[in-house]
Amino acid sequence: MKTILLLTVKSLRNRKLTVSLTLISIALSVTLLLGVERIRTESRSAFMNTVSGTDLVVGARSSQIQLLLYSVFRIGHATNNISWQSYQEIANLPSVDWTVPISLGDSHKGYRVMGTNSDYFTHFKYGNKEHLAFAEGRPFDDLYDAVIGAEAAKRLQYQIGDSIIVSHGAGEVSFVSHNNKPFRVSGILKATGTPIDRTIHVSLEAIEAIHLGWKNGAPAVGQNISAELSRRMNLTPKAITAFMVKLNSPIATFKVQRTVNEYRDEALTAILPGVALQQLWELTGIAEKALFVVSAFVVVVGLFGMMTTMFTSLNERRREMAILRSVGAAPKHIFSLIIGEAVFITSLGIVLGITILYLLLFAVQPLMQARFGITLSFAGFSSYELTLIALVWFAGMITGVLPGWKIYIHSLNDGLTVRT
Amino acid sequence: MASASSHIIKLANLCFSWPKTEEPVLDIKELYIEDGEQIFIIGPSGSGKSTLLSILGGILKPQHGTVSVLGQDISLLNCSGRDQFRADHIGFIFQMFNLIPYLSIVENVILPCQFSGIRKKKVLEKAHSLQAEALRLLRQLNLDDEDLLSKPVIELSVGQAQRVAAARALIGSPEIIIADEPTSSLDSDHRQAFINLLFNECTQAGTTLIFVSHDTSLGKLFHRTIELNNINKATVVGKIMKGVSI
Repeated sequence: MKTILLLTVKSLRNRKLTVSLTLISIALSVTLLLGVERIRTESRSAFMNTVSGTDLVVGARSSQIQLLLYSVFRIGHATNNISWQSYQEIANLPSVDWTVPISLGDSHKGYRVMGTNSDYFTHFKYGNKEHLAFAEGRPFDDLYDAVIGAEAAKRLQYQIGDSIIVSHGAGEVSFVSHNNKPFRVSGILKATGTPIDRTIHVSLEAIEAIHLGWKNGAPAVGQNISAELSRRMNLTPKAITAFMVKLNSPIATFKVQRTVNEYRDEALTAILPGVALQQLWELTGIAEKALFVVSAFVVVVGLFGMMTTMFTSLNERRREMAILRSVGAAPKHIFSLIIGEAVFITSLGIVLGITILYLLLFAVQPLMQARFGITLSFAGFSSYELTLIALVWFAGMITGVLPGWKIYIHSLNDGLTVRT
Repeated sequence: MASASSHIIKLANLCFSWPKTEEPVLDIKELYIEDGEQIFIIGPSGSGKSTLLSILGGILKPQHGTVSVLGQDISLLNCSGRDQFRADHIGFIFQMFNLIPYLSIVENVILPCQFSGIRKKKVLEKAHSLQAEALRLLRQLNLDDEDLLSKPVIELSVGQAQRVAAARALIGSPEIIIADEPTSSLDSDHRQAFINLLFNECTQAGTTLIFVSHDTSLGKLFHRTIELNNINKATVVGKIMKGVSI
């Protein structure tokens, strides 16, 4: 068997060009297959990590997924606001432990600005129930203080004390700025690997202050209330976008959810983040399955490519097989020579594919972080991924059976009559 | 009966036909080859030479008759038994393209030892390594130029390649060497030289040589010439039946 293995390797080395092309096509198909799977699980776990220790998220009446996306993941926009009064009433329900209000709608250089209160820094948890931690500085103290996420600080190269101008609207490009009321960076959060890293946090009062004298989403003509004047005005918010709720006991979750959903004064929706995420997965699951099927077919195409090159090489190798037969090789040796070739190329293709995958993940990592707040981990393989790899390997071996069988029959029939 | 022990090959009542054909290609009543004999088998193409060699090598199995090689009826062995028997006891040289293109010259020569423990053991009894024995054989066959030995086999001339093939057939001293038209692609000078080298080696090792060709002029160099058409009844009958006049 050692001889056959050696012959396989030497024969492959003799056909470097076709073999390496086959190898690359299999490697890339493996990269695609595992990459699709990796992105799927990584993005799911990133979403799962974004919020933990929150029982309910409450917003204006909308679909569960939409509420989840804009409130927690900063994707998309709210359709409506919640009045401050409704928020207060629900927050004061006896079964509620704490709440954290969220007010969205402004941005700074493409990073979302979120109005909240200092409870956010004490109560909010992400990942494995971890609290937010400060890399530098502290929560907002002054009205015009801002706490920025790690990614935003890094990208925009902000330090404590730097000045920030907030723009109106949540888009990447904004035409209206709140440039008469600059903010000062008071704190920078440690990286969390969630959308928090790309968020600029200010107080609810500050959100109110910068919109003083605005009407219908634009500054009213002739109304320019200065930053200092704003400080002396009533800055109690009139509305917020959403809020997170932690209950005294999780048993009350469904009761409070019903209370919110049937709230008289305003049309509200309360969601359980886990359940809403599940709905989201069901929605994206179809696309994921389609991607998976496509990538699986790419692997099949790669293997067919290998089979094609093997079949083409068979005719010119019949003489070689006859020589091997003459020196004592049995047909089973000839068969394993071909199978060995398929196994060798597939194995090498898998190793190369995995290497490319990790190189790509490494290259794409900053982009994923910046664009989607998804931190890709470079963890080892899950059992599912290992199963996929094993399946590809097995399929590669099976691919060798057909050409192997053909040459087996040839070598039985040809005997020593070597045909050219 | 006593002299039977010196017969290295005995064929008796041999009959072979290809699958799905009625007509036999070989029908040989008897053929004896003595130990150490240098035999010349001659016959025109289509006379069943290659088929006979395949049967002697244990690649093909006759429908009837006995094929006794070294006292063993190889037609009674199973497929892998015959493959192992061939690896252990028979060296082959073909007309051309004898070498595995992706192996070096020395690797080509030692190839039979990878399939036969017996031949490997025989080599290591005399030489300290397979490589050393391969180089010795190549030197015997006038292939000792260092530059030449490091060449890829596809760059060798036909004559050189045939000598490498001879070294491969000789390594590990198999009892029988079967050469199937090994000189047909050589010019007459090289042909004579090649046969002389082959004779020397076979005589030294006491190897039985079965040399097949359609070139009658070579016959005088051998101990004995067998005309296949004379002993193979199938071809005569077959040709008469087909009405072939060539």
